Amino acid sequence: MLKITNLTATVDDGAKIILNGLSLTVPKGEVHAIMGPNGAGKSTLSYVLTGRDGYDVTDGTVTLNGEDLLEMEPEERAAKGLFLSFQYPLEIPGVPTLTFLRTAMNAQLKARGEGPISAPDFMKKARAIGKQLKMTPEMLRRPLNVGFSGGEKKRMEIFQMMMLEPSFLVMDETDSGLDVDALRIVADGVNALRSPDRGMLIITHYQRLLDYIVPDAVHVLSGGQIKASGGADLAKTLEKEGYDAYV
Amino acid sequence: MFDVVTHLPHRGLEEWKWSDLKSTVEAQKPDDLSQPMQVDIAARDGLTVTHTEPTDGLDAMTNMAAILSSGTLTVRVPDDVRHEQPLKLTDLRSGNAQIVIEIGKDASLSVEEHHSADAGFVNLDVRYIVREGASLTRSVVTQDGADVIRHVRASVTLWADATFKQTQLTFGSALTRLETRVACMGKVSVEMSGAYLLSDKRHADITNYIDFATPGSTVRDAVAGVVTDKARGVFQGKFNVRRPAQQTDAVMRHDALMLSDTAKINAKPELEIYADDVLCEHGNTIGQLDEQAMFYMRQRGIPKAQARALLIEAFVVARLGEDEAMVALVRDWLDGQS
Ligand SMILES: Nc1ncnc2c1ncn2[C@@H]1O[C@H](COP(=O)(O)OP(=O)(O)O)[C@@H](O)[C@H]1O
Ligand SMILES: [Mg+2]
Repeated sequence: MLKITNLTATVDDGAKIILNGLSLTVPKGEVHAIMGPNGAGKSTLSYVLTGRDGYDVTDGTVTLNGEDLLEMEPEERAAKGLFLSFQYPLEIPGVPTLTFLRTAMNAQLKARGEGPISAPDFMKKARAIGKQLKMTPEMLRRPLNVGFSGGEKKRMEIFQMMMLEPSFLVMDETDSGLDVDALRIVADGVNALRSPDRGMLIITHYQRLLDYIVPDAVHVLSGGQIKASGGADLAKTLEKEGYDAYV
Repeated sequence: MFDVVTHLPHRGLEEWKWSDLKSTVEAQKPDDLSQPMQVDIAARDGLTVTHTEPTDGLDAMTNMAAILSSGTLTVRVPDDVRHEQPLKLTDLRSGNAQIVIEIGKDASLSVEEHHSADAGFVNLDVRYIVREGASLTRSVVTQDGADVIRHVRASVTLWADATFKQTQLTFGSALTRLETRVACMGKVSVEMSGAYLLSDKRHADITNYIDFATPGSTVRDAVAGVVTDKARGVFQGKFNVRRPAQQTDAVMRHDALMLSDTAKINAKPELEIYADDVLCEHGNTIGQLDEQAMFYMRQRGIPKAQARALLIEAFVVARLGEDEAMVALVRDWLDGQS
């Protein structure tokens, strides 16, 4: 379970408040969507959850399965099972995708006190998931994300997510840059990961993705706070009426 | 007695403004400054070794190598002989030496100059003559102690259709200067790469001068630098393209990462072009590790030190090349930093 209470975060040494007393609980096994206008603080929330530098948490708490996330380094949070699918995935020149991913996987296993995955097991898994996501072997051989289109990068995020099998995943505008076919492939992957042990937070600006991944709850984020919450149909209302009522 | 110190190059000279050899020698007082270096090169099939007259030259460093050595050694590969096994010049660690290596027409040789010294002064002057159609592959690694002063000057003369490939990796010392002077005397092909990785108060200088006398040569020169602590990296690169050297295609790059605020990098890439139909470029960047990439890697679970090492390794390998032994040395250095 992810539990965010009264989270307040600033940038520029406190000069600018971006998250302003945000509270939200995502129980195990549930998929929640966060929707909101541009500049609402959606990506900021994803970065504060994962521990990126440059944001100061001035108030509030965040726990994942009862453990204080805010005290942990980004890599410790990852080892606890927190995964962020970035709105803008990075290119890492010179580091082949599978080398990168295997390093990440083994680092997480090590942090959890487990032994590394064997090379054949890793390759077998990579091939199976790559096939499911319709990725070419060539894409997996290239340096991570280098020369990829926006949509390919998003698919690569989902590939990593399915390989790492996180216990809580945050997806930041994973749908942007995807055409309808890619959207369906990605949604199938995400749906396959739905399980009673796994929570998901899906950040999106449009409700399009939510036609494929039906959420248990929808929240409206605006001005750094959750302004409204509801069921899956709230997304449809927002699509029709926009965010004007919440800004 | 010939007073060597007064002749040493110093920061008052344009080519030495960032690598003050004289004051480093004055501070370190190496006792082998005027000594000859012990060099043994064994003759083998298709390779002769003779003692020849020394050649003096450009400045005090070459003159010292010529005068203070125990005689110039000349290695010759006859025409058409292509060597599979490299010639190893390893662990030249004290004093002055001059070596001439001549590769005959359509012959080939690779030379490994891998050195590590604990202390002292090393001045090595190597003159390569690569005849028509011949090829030279040169790999240089220096892993010296912090007090070593090392100067290596390779003067490479390339005749028509020669190829020259060079890879250099240095971890610096009190002062290390790896200077390569290439004269392109015909249409030739040159690929040079290099890297310096420096910690503590180490200093390394990679200086590459390439002179184009004739049309049609292709040159690629890429140097990567990584400096941390109070180390200092120096890159000087120059293409001198003379009027007849039309259709020269030459690119020079220096890219460096500064991992601490107290480290220093000085870089001077220069083009001097007198021909009008050429494609010459130079580029120079000095930056920090990409913090966004660092965060991305850490978000996937890779610990900070490992993420740094992976990014730095990728940065260096992209420029230095993928020679396995060199990559392993880069990794060892990175392991020692975390
Ligand atoms: N590091 C930062 N420095 C200054 N302002 C920032 C920083 N990060 C985000 N912001 C600002 O905070 C607000 C919320 O940004 P963001 O979280 O990216 O919104 P969303 O993802 O909802 O579009 C925007 O006004 C943005 O300009
Ligand atoms: Mg955003």
